[in-house]
Amino acid sequence: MTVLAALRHHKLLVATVVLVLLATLIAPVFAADGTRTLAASFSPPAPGLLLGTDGLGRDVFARLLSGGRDLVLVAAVSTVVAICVGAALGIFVAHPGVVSAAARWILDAVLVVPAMLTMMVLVFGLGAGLTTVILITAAVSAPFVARFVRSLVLPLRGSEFVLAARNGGDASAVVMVREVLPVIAGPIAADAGARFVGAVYLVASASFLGFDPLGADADWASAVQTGLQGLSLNPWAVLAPAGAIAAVTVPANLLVDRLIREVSR
Amino acid sequence: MTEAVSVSVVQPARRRLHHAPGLFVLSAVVRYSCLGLVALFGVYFAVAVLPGDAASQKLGLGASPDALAALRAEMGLDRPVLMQFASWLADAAQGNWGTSAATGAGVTELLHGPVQRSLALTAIVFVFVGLFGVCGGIVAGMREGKHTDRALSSVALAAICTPEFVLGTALVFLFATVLGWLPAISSLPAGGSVADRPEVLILPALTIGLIGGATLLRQVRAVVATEASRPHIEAALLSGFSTMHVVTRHLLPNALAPIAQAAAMVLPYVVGGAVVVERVFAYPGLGSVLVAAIPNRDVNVAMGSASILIAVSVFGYAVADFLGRGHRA
Repeated sequence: MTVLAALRHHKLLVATVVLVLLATLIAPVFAADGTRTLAASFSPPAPGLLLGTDGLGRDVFARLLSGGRDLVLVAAVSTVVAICVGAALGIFVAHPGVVSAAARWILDAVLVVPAMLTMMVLVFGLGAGLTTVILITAAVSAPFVARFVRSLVLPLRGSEFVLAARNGGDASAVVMVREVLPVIAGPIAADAGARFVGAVYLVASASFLGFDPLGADADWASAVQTGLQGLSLNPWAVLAPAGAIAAVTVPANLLVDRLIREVSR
Repeated sequence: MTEAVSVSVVQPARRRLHHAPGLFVLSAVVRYSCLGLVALFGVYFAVAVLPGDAASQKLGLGASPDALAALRAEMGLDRPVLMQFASWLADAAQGNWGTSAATGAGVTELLHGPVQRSLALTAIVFVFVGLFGVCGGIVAGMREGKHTDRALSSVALAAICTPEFVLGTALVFLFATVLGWLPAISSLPAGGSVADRPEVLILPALTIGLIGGATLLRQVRAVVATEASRPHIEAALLSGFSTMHVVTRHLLPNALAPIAQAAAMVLPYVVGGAVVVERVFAYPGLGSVLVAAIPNRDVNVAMGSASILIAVSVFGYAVADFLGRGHRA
């Protein structure tokens, strides 16, 4: 089944995912100023303060609307970068040779370190800000893409249509782009969804741990972190941003899970 | 937690060694030790070199280039990075893990307590992983396509992609704030040990156990479902043996190796997940030490805790590779 056919098969899930992502990206436009102190810290919901206030007395609802855009943006852009780099790398290491064997070794060494640890260490070493974090997240995800692409390319290398193209005199890079890439594009697209969810997870967790990957404390994950101490006073300061993160990751992952199963069939 | 969604062993060691266990173990030990060392060098580079070295940190922004150069020479920072890493490694191999830049305490003494507490946490985590992942996976696999299977598989799929801190927070809200059954904070009294307050382990372990177990549940379910559809299992069930008997006597012996392999793969996940979960619950384990040491630029403490975490993770992959050699060969 092609990816498009599989997507058409799950209209409801696709609609949910698209709606959540669009809402996350557009909501900051409608958000009130969430940086000013409006009431006592951790005030419960009141008229004008739909979800109460956080630890610094700021409007939780306004911060909820504005706190997801950068998270989703970083995850989406870094996924695109990771897929491009990872696919090229994966095709490269699927070929025999000394250099690709060395590259395979380094990939393995990256993969044995828990991704969360790599993320933390890189954010600390290279700093914060949108561009840097996009590159870091892409660097952490790319080895996973490369390993997946390699596993897709390996069985195809000896297949008849590839051999035919090579015997026809095409260079191996040309064969990879013209013959192999179209065949594995579907599974790679499905895997991109998994990488996106992973990227949201990585950036959010690094932010929760206080590494400030987005350069400020305005995102959902740091809201959860700072709100934990006031959980009994105003639970919404934690539950709203935590729920928002789950609303982004859970439907996306449900969709990805089905896509991967159907595309690889 | 998608890291574990697509876990698979790093490339297996050479196939022709699969039938010689001794050689295989030896080659796996060498291979995975090398992988761990390369990874550790990466961490060293990122923590000790990238953000400006310890000398510039110590002297601040207004330091004169001469003073900086002198301090660098004194601290051995003017040598190539690979040399610095090698000397750290040589010291570490002799049991000298250096001292903390922040407190001056020895790293070995500093890590003693957190390592014990992380071990205690990991032990409880694997109880939950076993209950949810293995038992849940067997139940779901035996009832493939039925309501129980759908419920378990859906919960597992939702858990897999929920970040640890989101699930942990939800559990704290439910069990600590609303119900008041368990403590919200897992910190320990000064000088106290986990044994004094074992209840603080439950929520952190449940969080990691649910997410780690979810990945396992899906794998165990697949293995069990395949095994359960084989003729000898169907025959045993039809001849009136209880499901329990068939599962333990006829099904599990064949499914045990792949299940054990999948379970070993949970260990690397637990290492990464614990770093975040410890922060949610303020549990003073190894992950907390690392998270505090990195922004403090406490290189020796960061390297000490990171090398233990990486070693455990590598160990998990190595065990999975070893257990998987039988049915891959």
